[in-house]
Amino acid sequence: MKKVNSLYYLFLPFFAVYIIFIITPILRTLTFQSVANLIKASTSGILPSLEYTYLLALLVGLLSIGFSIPYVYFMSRSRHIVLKSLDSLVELPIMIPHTVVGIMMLITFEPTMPLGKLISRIYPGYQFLDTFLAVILSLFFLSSAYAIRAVQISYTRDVMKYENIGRTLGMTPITSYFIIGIPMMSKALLRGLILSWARSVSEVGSLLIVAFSILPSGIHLAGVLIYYQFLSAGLPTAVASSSILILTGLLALLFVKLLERDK
Amino acid sequence: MIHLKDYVVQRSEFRLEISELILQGRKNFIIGKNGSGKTTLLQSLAGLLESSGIFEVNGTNKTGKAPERRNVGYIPQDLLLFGRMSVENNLMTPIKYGNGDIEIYEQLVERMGLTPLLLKKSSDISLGQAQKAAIARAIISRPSILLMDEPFSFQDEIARLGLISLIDEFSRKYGFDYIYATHDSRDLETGFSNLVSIDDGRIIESVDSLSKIEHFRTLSLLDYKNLASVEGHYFALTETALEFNDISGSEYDIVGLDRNRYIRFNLNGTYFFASINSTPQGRFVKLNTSNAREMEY
Repeated sequence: MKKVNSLYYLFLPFFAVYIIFIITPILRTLTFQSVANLIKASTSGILPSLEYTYLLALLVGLLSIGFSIPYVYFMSRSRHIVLKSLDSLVELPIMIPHTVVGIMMLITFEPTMPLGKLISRIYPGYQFLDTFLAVILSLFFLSSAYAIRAVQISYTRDVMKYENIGRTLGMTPITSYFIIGIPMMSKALLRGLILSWARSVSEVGSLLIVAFSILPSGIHLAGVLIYYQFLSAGLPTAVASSSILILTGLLALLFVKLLERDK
Repeated sequence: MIHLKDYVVQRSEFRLEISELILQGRKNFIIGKNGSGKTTLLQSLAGLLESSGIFEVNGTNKTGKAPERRNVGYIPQDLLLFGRMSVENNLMTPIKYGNGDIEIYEQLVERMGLTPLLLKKSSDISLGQAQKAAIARAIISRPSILLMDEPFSFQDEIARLGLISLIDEFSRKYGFDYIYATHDSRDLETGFSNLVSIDDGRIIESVDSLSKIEHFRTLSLLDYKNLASVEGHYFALTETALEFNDISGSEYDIVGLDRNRYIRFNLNGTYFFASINSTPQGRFVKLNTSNAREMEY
């Protein structure tokens, strides 16, 4: 057996406390009520809501990594101090309270606001509040940073130097990027997708402002629905929906982890 | 021939500045301690870092050219084989995407015994095999010069010298010059055309034989023994520079084996090593600087 030092045993309790702290509320939620109640709760609207939530979050995740690829390439080759400082803006949405993000989106994109008015002129009939667009833009604003940083760390730390070697072997920048760079980034792209997706699934604050329910179907996204159930139907219904969200979320993450291991 | 003139590379706070350097001959070594600028120089010559000034190879100007248009091969310390590709695809990269030569590919695979590795993923081969593959990949790209940044530093001495000799053989056969960065003096045992010593982003000196070294800093990189700095003067010690059994000198210890014996003595609080042939008499040693070779710093 591998020998471990005393520091290992010193830190073991910290590890244990943390893991217990994370697992306890999850277990408490999952065991709060019987399986029969969970099955019954699945008819409360949580399943279609989860379907919308996961798909929209996936779309936002794809959009995030789609932007992260050119962003990271451009930024990694920019030397100008102004561009370098603009890079620190990426984390800004993470620190802004999410309800504030909702308000920011509203006063930027609503058709009555200057930019919204401009868009309305180009696209007559343009709507923002309670639309898919409102959901996607808000979630993208909040979660794209996770994808960008995941890809950026991998690219600047590991991938660029391989691309450079490709160029000394005669590859053009484009060939080297697509033949060497992109395949090497696949793990980071997947990680960025998961992080962005997970962050989008967990969003509530901004959606309460810009898309409490998505029209015309009137569907609520999962976080909003559970909050609404908690206020209107009480704790048991909200807990049942939460359990279903946690279980499906765990399954999704497990699936992605398996994919990641295969790569 | 490699010619650098008014060559400058600025990398954050570090500045490499070479007023003029001419390397005539195939086998060129750069020696310098860590952080002296060896990697910066090689990466800039490969076109991977921005530089200003003149960089010519055999009269062809390479200044400002993109890496893929320079015809300059580069093997970094960590080799950077493309781990997701097979060894074969790694070696074929310069042929598919550059000016690589399929005949050289076939000859190198044969000569270096790479055939059994071709279908393996390059992340699954040993370090020694990866070093051979990296050499082959670079040479297949038909460089006019090959730059190597201590790519064999994790190998033992015999293996390292074997690989350097192999490169020397290919350099003659395929007609390229090479620059090999190292901080291990034993790498020079295969012989060299030029030895360039670099420190703090500046060339200290460039010599074509060890006996022509004039700088203490260069010699100290090659051999930590037989050197002394006394009151701002720098000396290469010889046996006659050491006088034994002088009561006014320092005490010494004999260290090392009989065939490779050194004395260790303390001079102004610093310990020095000097090689000796015979067992000296007496307990004390004195440094007689008039019999030592004074060097520039």
